[in-house]
Amino acid sequence: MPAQSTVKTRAITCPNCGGTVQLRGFAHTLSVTCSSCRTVLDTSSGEASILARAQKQMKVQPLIPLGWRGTFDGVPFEAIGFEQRYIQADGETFCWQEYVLFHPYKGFRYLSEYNGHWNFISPTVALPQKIIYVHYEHGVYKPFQKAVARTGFVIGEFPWRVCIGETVHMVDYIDPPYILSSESNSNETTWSVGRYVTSDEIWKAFKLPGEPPKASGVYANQPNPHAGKPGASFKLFGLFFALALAILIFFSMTHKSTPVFTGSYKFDPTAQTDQSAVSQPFELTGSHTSAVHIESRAAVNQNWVYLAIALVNVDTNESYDFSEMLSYYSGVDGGESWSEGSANQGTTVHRVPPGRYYIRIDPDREKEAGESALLAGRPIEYKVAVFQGATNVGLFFIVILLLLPPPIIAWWRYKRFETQRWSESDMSGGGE
Amino acid sequence: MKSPIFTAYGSLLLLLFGAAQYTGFGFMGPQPAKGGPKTIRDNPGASRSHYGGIPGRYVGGK
Repeated sequence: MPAQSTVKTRAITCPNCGGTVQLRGFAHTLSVTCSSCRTVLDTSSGEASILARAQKQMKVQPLIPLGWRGTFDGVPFEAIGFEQRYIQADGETFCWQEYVLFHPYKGFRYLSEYNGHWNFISPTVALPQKIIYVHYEHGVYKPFQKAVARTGFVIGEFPWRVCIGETVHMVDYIDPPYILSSESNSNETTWSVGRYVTSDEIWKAFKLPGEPPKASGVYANQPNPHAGKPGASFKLFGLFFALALAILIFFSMTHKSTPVFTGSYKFDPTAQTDQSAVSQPFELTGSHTSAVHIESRAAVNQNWVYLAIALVNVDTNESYDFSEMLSYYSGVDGGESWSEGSANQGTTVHRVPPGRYYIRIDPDREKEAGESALLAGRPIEYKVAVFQGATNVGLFFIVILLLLPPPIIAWWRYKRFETQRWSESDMSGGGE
Repeated sequence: MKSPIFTAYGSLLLLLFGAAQYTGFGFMGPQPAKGGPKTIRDNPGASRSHYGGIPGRYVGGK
């Protein structure tokens, strides 16, 4: 869709082919390319003179036709010039395209495009201050790339005397979504600041037909789509951690600390009678299942006992069977005291329905090889206590482990994007 | 909200964690066994736990 012309343009005659060349940038245009013979003309003196003969190199088709208008920040700019520039690095040539945009009151702006990544570029309004990083307005820009850029192809109007093969030393500094560029030749250094824009925004601004080309790779000042997510995820993780801890503490405090049953028993290993014991029935109260913790303690100094324990429901005979090995030995060896084992053990039975229960205990102790009958036959006193409502601390750590992957993945995605970005940089010290 | 999926996922985990603590849920521990003889209380030695503890020792029913 060609632009609607609202301002009268000036026209000159090409001294090479005699064709008419329109000047949309008025007196600001210092050079223009003849659309017929592609000779570059110098228009700074009012009369057109040949600046460079017709370009022999391959013709490049701009994605935005010259003469079309696009609106940026509410201002309609007209595309009046196009150039292709390139740099050579590591034996490869990298090309990008630049468009000259013009508005009669706002002046010149520029668009650059590389691999589907676009920047809307304005001249700087103040000289950036360089210490280590570059400070401009409110941003701190990290050095990203320096290169020697050459102009390879031009078409349209330019506010400078454009030359094919023109060379500038350029340095880019980034503070996504902004890029600050300095371009220097033997006479001057110019600064410009670019803001990253997507292909979709460009197509929408110019109302271009069709689908915009997809951007490939990560561009220098492309905003990281994962920026802010690692911090937010880790904050959320901290919140969830605190809440899980609060839940754990809450249930620890609400669980009963007094046992619902305690029993003391004596086991005689030498007895010929059955040493098994059952407790009196006790009640597990409540309307829902609960964890039940059963603690066993035995007087096993230099001794041991094996307890096969069952928590049995009086009404259903459903039982939870487990065992405890209680042993405690200590001594002095080479002047160093030692001990092993424990005289008390505990087991948690999960999801026990409320009801009436009893405990059955079957103690056992065998005479070991080389052990005297006297030692092996010592009677052992032991106690069993049942607590209703044990807190499962293990689940807390499982929850924390399950909460960790999202912030770690968010951080990894953010870092991967930045790694891709900085892999294109040829300047050290800027990487994150 | 920058992490809606993580917010939902974390909230669900906390909900499950609270419910697990409330109901006494756990992954490990003794499992319920049905079919125990009704005479255990009267004669506790008539049934031995199926849980074998001492290595090499026969712990079957007496």
